[in-house]
Amino acid sequence: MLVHYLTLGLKPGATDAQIRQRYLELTRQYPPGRDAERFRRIAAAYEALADARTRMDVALFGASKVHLPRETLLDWLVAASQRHTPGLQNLLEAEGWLDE
Amino acid sequence: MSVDTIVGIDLGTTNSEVCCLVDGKPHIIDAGGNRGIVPSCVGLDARGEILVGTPALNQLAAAPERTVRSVKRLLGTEHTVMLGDQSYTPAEIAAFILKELKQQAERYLDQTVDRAVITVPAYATDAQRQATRAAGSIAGLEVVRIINEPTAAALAYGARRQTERSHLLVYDLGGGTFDVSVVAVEGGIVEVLASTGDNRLGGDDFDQRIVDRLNRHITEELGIVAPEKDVVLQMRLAVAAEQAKRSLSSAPFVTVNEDHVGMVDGHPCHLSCELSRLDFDQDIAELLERTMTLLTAALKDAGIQPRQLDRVLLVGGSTRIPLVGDLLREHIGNEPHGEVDPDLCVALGAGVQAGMEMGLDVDAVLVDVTPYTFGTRTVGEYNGELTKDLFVPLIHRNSRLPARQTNLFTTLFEDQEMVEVEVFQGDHRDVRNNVRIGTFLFEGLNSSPEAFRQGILLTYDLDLDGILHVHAVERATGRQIEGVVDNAIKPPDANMLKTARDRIESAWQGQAVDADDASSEAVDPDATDARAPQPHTDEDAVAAESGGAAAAGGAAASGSAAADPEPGDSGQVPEAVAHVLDSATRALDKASEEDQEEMIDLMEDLREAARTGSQRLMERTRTQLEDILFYLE
Repeated sequence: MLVHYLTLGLKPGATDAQIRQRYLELTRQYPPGRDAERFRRIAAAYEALADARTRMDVALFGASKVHLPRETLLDWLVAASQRHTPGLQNLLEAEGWLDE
Repeated sequence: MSVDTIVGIDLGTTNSEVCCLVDGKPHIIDAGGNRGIVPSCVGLDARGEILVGTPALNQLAAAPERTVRSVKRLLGTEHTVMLGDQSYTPAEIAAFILKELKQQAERYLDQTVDRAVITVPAYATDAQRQATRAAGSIAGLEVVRIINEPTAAALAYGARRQTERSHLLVYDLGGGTFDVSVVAVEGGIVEVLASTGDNRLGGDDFDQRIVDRLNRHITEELGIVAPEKDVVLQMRLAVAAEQAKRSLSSAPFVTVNEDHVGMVDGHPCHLSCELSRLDFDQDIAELLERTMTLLTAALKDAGIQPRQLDRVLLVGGSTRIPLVGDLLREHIGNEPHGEVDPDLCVALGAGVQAGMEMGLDVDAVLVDVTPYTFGTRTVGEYNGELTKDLFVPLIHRNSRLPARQTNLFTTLFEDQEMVEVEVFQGDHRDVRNNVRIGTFLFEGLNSSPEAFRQGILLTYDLDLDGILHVHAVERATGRQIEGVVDNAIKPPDANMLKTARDRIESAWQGQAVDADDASSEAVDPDATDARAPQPHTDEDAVAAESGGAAAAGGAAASGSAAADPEPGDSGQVPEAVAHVLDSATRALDKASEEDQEEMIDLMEDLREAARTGSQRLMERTRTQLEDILFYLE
């Protein structure tokens, strides 16, 4: 997770708009045709952080676009927070998942 | 302008254009009139000289045996094309067209042009992309970049004017292919979100529907038997059908007149058939419905609702058909836009991209995706049954390009000495429903337990042109293989390209080519089929997935199809089967006639089960066979 924030030069907690903005800036700076390797990292970072749901997938499963059904995901979150997974509590609060 | 100008070329099924940047603006080079549109048609005139473009198209009806059109549909296949008494590969015919465009550009710019950006349909396969690259090379053009047609159209539409995020839908219905892309444009970046299509659907199919109707008319009204067999007539009807199709875009009725379509009772017959737009719409409705299904799929993949679309761009001549606009309005409730010329906007976009490749400041960046999922075949569990046909995707469709993915796989057996890495393109969990586009043999694997434990890293690398590179490493030893996927055509090796280039060059200059010499080198499919033999490994020598550790938790929790295969005990199955089959064959003589029949049936079932990987059936038949064997002994 952190490495993706570092790639984009952002701090955890950045908003969706900030993340999108940085992605566009960096893409203009390093277009895929000029530096494929660098662009790949930028795109991977953006894909992992694109929105709250994706960030949750990456944090929990290490992969984006897992897209579990909502109920399954909530069951998972409850189970995981009961096992006191380090940092998960903070993450859930930051993303506003515990409010629901 | 600098010495190394790069031009943008739209190599279309029906028409082609060449474009370059003049003062930062794309400009279509117009050498032969008609706004610079060159028909994608190649022919030989009566004296054996090569004709490209309008002159070739003009002789199509008169001399179909010496004229080729719509060659783009054959690119990437093993088909050869006859032109007079010479046989050419599709790439060579395409090279004639590219060479003509290259010369037009050279005359216009007054300098040599040897680099180009060429467009392909977004849904073009790996083989079609490779063939396009080869065609460029034969024509003496280095293809610096291959870009997708709908993406080029979006570029032409103008990325730099957009600062707010907006979503475009590019609906590209050309002469031979259909593509649909959902594109986001924001702050000078053109980003393709999803892309799909059908590379065998276009204006030619619409023409064919009209020709079918005309043939029916000829048979029923004029009483001529089997007009389909008359090649020259069919070619004439095709030309007439295309004219009629164009007229029907503006008029509700059109009459097709053709003289001398055949003889009845010694008298020549003339065709005069009225077609209505309603009839035409009925004929093509089913084809257009298919484009709407694909459009819906692309929107779904992009995660965009129809009402979120800001604009619909129409590309390709076939979008002039009124029914296309009607269907689009009906499906997405949005007025389609055609303000950029649908015939030229792909070429204009290619010109913009060419400018970017030259490093000119056109202030637009292109981020494209792959329309295909690429993966490999493994042993694993599918629908609760063990199969050796499990498709494990590595690069998912609509991944940004360039895309790379590495997965860890293990061999099925500890002492396995080779694996066959099979590359598939498709989305089905069963590889047999996908398209196999390549096979690589990784031989001489280390048979130590350590090497088995560490496994093999398989990497798929999809470059900006959409061409797939495959790379496998044995982790314990560091030994590796790599290769570029080539589908129906072999990788264009330098020698072959050079021969083809010389051949095109001499044909271009109107010199008679020595037929023997030419065909033995570049044309004869037997001679060129120097592909590495593809030895079939043992059925069980397929790599098995070890399961990505990171994703395993998610997959297990979701209970989705992304099951984690356990190659552990499955490794025994094929061997045990082979053993039982062996014993059964030996015991066959000792059995009574009745038993023999039953055994043969069971052996058949068992082989079938092993082939399809159905574990339950395999277990049951094996047990029954073993029971009989036990009783016999």
